[in-house]
Amino acid sequence: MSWAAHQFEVYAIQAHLPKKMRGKVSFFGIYLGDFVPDFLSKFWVYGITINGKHYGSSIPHQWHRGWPGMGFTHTLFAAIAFTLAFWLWRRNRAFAIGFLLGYTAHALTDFNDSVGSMLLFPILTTSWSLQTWAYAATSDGGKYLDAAAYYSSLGLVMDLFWLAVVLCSWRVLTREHWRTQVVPADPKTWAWLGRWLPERGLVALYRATFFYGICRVIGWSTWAHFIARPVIDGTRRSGYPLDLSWTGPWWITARSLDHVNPWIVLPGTLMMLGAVYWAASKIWEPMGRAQARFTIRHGR
Amino acid sequence: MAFVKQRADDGDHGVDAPRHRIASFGRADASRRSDALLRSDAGSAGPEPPGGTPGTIDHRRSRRLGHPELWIWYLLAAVTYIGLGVFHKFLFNWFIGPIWLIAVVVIGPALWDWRRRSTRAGK
Repeated sequence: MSWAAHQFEVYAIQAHLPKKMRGKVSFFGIYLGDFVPDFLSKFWVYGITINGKHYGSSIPHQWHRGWPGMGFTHTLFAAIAFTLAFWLWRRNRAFAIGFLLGYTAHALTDFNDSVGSMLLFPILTTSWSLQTWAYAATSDGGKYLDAAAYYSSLGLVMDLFWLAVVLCSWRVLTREHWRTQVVPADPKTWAWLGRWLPERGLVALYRATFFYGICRVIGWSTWAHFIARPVIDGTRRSGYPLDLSWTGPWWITARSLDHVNPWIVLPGTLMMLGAVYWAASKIWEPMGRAQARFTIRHGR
Repeated sequence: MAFVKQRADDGDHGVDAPRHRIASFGRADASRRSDALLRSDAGSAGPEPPGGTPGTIDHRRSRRLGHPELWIWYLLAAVTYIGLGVFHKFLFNWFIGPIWLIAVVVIGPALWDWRRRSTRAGK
């Protein structure tokens, strides 16, 4: 799974919208789209312990990404289905397209770990995985071991890559961008929030996911490499060993599901990403016209 | 019906007029409109500030912070959040993280201003 990459990609999408969509795609739509897949599936991955009894999935990676399981939440099929449901309910183009792009980004980013995601569900329930780092969520290790493995592997590099993508488009984080591109796309929501928060609070709310992403990278990496004292192969160590090899780190067994040939994963995923952007761009104007008709008909 | 057709013919938009205008006008204009939008909804009747300049008052009559001061508050939020989170890992949470930043950036300067005012009044 990816950690802070999911926080950074929200801003990367904002910064790389097609020209005709700039200032018109809802930031909250992108954020929610990126958030929903893990919100729906992850609560049971780590589970909870009450009075010493653990409640959660016995095979977390199967539950999280597989079928049967909640793996359908990390698919383009779910992205399209949820977007369609939102669109039919509210006829809000800004939100629907934002949601589609955010959801797609989440599902596609997760192809990197050893479990991957079922990108062609329901046609094909085989996972698409590049095996870049080990999927390490286990019922015994929980969130901490998962974090330690992720930030000791190429997952850390992935987070830093997405951070660099956002920093290369740093203007997306400015107050000016928020005022000219983000507020106009979501006028009602920002105006409602503006009843309670001053402008610096609203801008902080916009930047909060980025802030959380950076803090997550620094915080978990610091803990994993400088504070934790794990016992690995019977030896107590000072920090989890960093291992930037493919499907690392070596000290944890990479979980996996039945997957397609890794060589077709990267080009296939990039094609799917391109197809979603192309489709969003093509339906943009027709959705605008449909929204206008709906607005007039229902007097909203 | 004619209106609908006319809007449909112009290709894009027709979504809602104010939003369309915001996107079509320049950045400065969009910025002023964002101000007006927040101001009208907050029920504040004060004059419109010039483009969100630091030092001016926003739609809730809160002081806009300059860049150096804002950086200090963001840095304080990050240092305290990471510092505490490393030892209390439950704090690294998608809900607490964003709330932490907003709380520090909103409440911090307000408390600072209040303390300065009360110190000045005490003298």
